[in-house]
Amino acid sequence: MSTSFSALRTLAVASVVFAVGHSAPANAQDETAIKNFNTICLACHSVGQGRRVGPDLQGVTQRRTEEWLMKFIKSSQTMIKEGDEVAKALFAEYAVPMPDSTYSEAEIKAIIKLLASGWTTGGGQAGAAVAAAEPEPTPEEIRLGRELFHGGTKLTNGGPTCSSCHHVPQDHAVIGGGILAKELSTAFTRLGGPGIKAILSAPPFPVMQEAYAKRPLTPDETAALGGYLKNVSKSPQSFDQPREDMLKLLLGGIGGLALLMVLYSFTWRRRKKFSVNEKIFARQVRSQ
Amino acid sequence: MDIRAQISMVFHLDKCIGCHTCSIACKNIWTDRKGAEYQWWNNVETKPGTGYPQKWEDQDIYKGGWYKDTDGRIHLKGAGKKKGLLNIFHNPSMPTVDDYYEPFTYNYLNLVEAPAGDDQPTARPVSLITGEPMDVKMGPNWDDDLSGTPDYARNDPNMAALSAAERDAMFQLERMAFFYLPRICNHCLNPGCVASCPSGAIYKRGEDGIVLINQKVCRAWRMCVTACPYKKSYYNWHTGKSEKCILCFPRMEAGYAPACMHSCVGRIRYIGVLLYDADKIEATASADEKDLVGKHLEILMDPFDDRVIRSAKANGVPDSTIKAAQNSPTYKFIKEWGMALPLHPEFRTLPMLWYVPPLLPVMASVKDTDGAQKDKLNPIAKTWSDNWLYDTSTEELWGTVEQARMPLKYLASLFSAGDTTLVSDRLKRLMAVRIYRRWKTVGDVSEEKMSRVLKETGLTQEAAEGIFYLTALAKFNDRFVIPPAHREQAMEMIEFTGDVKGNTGFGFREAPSRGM
Repeated sequence: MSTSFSALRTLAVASVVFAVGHSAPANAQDETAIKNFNTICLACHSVGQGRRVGPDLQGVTQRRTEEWLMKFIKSSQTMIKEGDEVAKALFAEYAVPMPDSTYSEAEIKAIIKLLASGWTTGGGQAGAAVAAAEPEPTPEEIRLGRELFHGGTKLTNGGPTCSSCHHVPQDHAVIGGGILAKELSTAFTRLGGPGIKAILSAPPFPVMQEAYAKRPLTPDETAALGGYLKNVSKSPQSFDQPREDMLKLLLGGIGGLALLMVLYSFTWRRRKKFSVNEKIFARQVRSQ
Repeated sequence: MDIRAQISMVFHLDKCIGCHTCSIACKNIWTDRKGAEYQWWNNVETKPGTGYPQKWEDQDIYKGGWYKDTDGRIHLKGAGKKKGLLNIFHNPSMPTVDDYYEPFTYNYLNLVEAPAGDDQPTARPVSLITGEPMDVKMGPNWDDDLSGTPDYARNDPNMAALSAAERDAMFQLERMAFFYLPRICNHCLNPGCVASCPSGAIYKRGEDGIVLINQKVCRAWRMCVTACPYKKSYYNWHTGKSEKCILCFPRMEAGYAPACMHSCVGRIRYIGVLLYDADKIEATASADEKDLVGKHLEILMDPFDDRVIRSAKANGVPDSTIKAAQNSPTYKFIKEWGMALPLHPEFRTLPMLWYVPPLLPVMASVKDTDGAQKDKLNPIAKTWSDNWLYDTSTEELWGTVEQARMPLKYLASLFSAGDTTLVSDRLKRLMAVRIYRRWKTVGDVSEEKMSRVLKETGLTQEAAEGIFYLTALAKFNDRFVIPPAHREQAMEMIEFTGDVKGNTGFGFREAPSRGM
């Protein structure tokens, strides 16, 4: 990646952080709540920038009671199981279960308070505007992203390759990706650039948290993967088109077989090859 | 000291007439089944000869038995963990059906059912494996009586011990000599088959040392077929399990001698209990080649020794078995009189089937002669027109033993890992008993000569009389001293007999069911 582009990315990220920081109340408790929100919630929710994976949380405190919110944040699936109509409807609409929060009750309360204060993400800009501000990924970035996603290049901090758990159908694949987690060919459409970035830099999902807690992605890698997923979402494929390696496979097989034959006949060169009666039998007259 | 009991056997080769009755008795009882037709748990070979399967003694081909490593430990030659894993898909040193022979029968029905025609109907040979008509290529004893092509007797692996002249002389017409070697499973103390089995299907019975293959555990690895240097473990291609001589244990448990021994025409076979020290098996099997027979004799313990009896009892050997060991004819032949030797001790399996080597055929030597010797010959010697001398004369007492027509070196290669003194010791004792009996019954041998002969061989008159009795006169119960199996006690280990005790009276009368 070119230095100038890297600098541009840093500037963009810095401006977002600055904007978010600037719009925030100076209160210390609120700052912690903002940090907590950005660490986990931001990956799926915006406040005032429109829908991402989950709904926009602007005005959510007016729509729901604090008690309901607390319960939902703690464990949305429990509520659905208990038959809460609103929770069921939300799950039906968004189809992505919200992971149980790992924050303490006090921390969640602080975040709810923050949401009630009229604070917004993106410094008050509209979501569409932020999306528009996202620069188009360069071919170089897409290539690196593909390499990183499918394991051609290792992640700098040693985190597991995306395709260990996720799958994106692509041409010339030798082996497909994992089926442990969601298929990501439409991830960009669903999450948007900031959503992907947020998930990658601070994963909200427990398994991803565990996997990347000590081996986080670098900003460059995050950007490259985001670029790759954006590119993929433009023309998602339904199936892999495996690489055409028939001749190589055939030649490799023949070569391997020949090698094994030589190895075997050498290893077992002192084996018993003939019947001890071979000479006697060879002399005998046969009727048929 | 860890004394255990083992059923052991002695085959007196001087008495074997090579009639194959033992083989037929065994075949009729045990191996007359599909997949077992080619198996001869008991077979009789002519020596010199290549035997069955052909050249079984050549472990360069079959990789059977144990070898002593440079570290002084013994390892299986063709099996074991590492070699077993390496050859897991193909066990390369196994005999094939061509090394045994393809079993066959004849289409006898054709003789009576053939339609009328110009030619006599014939009974064509039919393979017992494929069921198709076949050319008979080989049988289990085609080298019988030195018959067949030079490929048989002249390829005997034991011939390697002889010089070219000795080898040639063995096959000169009117001078050739051979003897018979009946073979069954040796029920070894250090069995290669047991050690090689990856499934743990082969075991040595605790009470009598009979080596058996559990047909439910056998997984057809066939490592035992390779590991047994005597090639006495056979693979049944129909059941997919290996089988071997079971020493007719169902008969033995009922107090009968094994079928081969029971039917023996020459009464060459003896069976009896030996007490051995199991602690010393590994050390004995790892001994230097020249010490193998001596050490093997050492671990066979005196059944009259108090310490031996105490240790045996501590191991649960019943009094009746100890008593059988004290009356054992095999103990007398092997240990007391020193008359027997194991077959191929250099395979290091410590076989428990011992052979009294043959004194017959007629003791005479064949040697190179320049013709000038003719003048020195006494009147009973014969000479021939070529340069061979067939010499039955003897200048000293043991002359004919040292220069027997069946070369000592050949016998030593079979029975003592090449040590001719061990063989000549046994032959001298056989001869001493003859001289003693000649003195006693005919009287044309001087008492002085008889006493000298007995003294030189370490025998007493009583011992010579005992050898004569067991060799020539022994009755059924003298030859076969089989310890009671105590099946009533074995039964109590499986179920509590008190459950039915007193519960059943005379019961109801039930008509016997007969017929097919």
